[in-house]
Amino acid sequence: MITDVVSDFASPGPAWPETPPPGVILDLRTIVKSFGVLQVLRGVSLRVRKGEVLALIGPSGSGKTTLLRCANHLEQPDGGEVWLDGELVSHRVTRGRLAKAREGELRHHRAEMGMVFQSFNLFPHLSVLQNIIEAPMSVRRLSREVAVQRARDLLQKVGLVDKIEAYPLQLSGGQQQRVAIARALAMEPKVMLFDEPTSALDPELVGEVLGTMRMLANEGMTMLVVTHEMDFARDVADRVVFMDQGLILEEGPFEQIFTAPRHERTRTFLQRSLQSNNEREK
Amino acid sequence: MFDWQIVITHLPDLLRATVRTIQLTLWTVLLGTVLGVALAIVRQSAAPMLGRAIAVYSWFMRTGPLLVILYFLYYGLPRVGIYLPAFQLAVLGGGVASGAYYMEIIRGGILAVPKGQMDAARALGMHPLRVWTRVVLPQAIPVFLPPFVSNTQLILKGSSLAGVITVAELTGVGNRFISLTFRPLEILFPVAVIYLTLNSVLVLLQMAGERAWHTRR
Amino acid sequence: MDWEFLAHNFRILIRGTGNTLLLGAATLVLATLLALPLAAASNTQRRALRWPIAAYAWAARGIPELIILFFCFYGLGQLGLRLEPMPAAILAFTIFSTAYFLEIFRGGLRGVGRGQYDGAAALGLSYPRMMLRIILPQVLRIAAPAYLTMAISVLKLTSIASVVAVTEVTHTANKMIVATQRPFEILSMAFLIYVVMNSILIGLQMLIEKRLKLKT
Repeated sequence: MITDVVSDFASPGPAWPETPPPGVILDLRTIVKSFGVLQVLRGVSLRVRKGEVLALIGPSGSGKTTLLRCANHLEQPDGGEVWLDGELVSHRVTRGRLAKAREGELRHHRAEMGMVFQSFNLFPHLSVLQNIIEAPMSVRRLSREVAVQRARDLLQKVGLVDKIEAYPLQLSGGQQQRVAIARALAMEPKVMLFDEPTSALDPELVGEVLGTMRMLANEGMTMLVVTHEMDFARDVADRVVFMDQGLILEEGPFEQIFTAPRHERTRTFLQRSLQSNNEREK
Repeated sequence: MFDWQIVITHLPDLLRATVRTIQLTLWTVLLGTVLGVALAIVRQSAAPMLGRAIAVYSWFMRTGPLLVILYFLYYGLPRVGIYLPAFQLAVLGGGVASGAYYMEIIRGGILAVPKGQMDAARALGMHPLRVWTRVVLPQAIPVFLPPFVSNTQLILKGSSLAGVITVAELTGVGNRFISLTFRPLEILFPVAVIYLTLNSVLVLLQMAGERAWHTRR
Repeated sequence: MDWEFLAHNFRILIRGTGNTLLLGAATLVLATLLALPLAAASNTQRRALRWPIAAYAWAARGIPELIILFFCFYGLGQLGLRLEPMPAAILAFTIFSTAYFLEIFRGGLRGVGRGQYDGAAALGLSYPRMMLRIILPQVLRIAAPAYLTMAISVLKLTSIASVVAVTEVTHTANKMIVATQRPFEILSMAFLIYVVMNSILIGLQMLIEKRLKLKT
């Protein structure tokens, strides 16, 4: 039953929150979020270990993107806690009580989580280089030389160092997204959050981005990826998490979910996405 | 037929009045912009009550004439014991009337920047002030600069009404000279040329501004 | 609330609306009729046509409306053509409104895709027929919102005609202030009269925009 799965991971609610065990980079506990009357997240808990790659799948409206955005507090959760590498991010301690964290503190932690968006969100009025060095210089206070060198190395890694002076609108979608990944990596984050990174790309360009993500995974980066790409989920993800209507229905290795789903809705969803996958490959 | 002598004699006074016109325009733009920014911010964040009040105010400013507002301030304020110089009354009237337009212009500029831009900047941990100055404003300014300048041009023309409530600006002074000299053309031509010149300066400033904040597209 | 006072003076003010509407309507009709051919003319390749029209548009929009009004009322008098306040006002308003409508219609013309002309030509339509039946309706449709916004501005601007003694609403209100010594009440009523008139226009604009959306 749904409640079993949730209670496996939800803390039973001690008076004072327990720090997560070592090795857990991102700990989301009973995250609740509503937009007006619409409740999008109904108590979602998730733990991501260091070096793990998690694929978050599910139908649209299931809350996957919202969960990601609650992790780095682009949206403020209505309830629940977010822990990053053993530190409580979503709340601060004042006078022996917990209170919602303030923007200044959240900002500090956001810098430790890299986010890659579906629509890339590169700054169009800045060059590729300027896009990448902006945050390291203004947030981490690196010198320009160090920041530029880091940018070069990262662009080298994603294979776009020759585009360093180009402007985002001169690049293809796949190239823009790889620059976006480099921009996020420039902050040396502890975890990378990917929000449907390939959904807005033409099919031919999807491969280059997935390739970059694969490389990151092989290097041991902790990644939480919301995606529709089932091949990626199967080949790269350590665990797959299926969400529906604001709750996690099941999780486990891809084989387990795929061959022996516990819920009817999981089965239907997988069938439908594999169908559309085949349609695309035709 | 055309008596250049009249033009030459009155030109210095006209130019002095032009300075007043420029001052009037600048102060009105300042007041209007500040009001517009404040209203845009309030509109974005606050209560539906305030939003409705602002909408009503906007509606009135879009449908009611500036001249009536100026008369209202000129005749009305002394009755409640507020005695202000005509110049300030004109700035007040013009500023309040244009605030609604500036609010729309600024909202247009800010809305033109896709939400994802702020998302990305925040996700990188950038400081809110830097988010505004490095990411949002550079993209908003090219969008709202043209309507901002054309609104300023409208305010320049609107300043010509201030003479009716005894401000010593260009049109008011010109009107006085017409009744003194009985040579309207000799007065109106230089006045028209001066206004067109001021207008051209604004257009040039706009072109320079667009080049400075140029977004490469 | 002195209702008697308000009602009595409101009736006097309302008489002013006759001239306000007359000025507004006459201006709109004349300016539209003039702006359409000018817009078509300025859309051609012939520089001899485009430049004078552009110069006129720049001057008519850059010079304050009050100055143009003074030109028509006082200036023409110096040249021997003495006009009564209302005709002078109609002339002045037509001069600058045409320039604004000119820009609006040019925008509308630009909005009509090249394909429309090609399609009409391919069907063998004559130039007048093409302009009248194919191009013009589309121009009007595209330009309708901006046109109505300008119409509202024109109606608002009629208040400046009071300065050359056209007995419209603002002029009437001004005289009544001296007589009644109650500026707040008089001017508020005058203001509201304009608000109501223009609100009707805005309502019309929204109605037309909705119907246009349904058609496309």
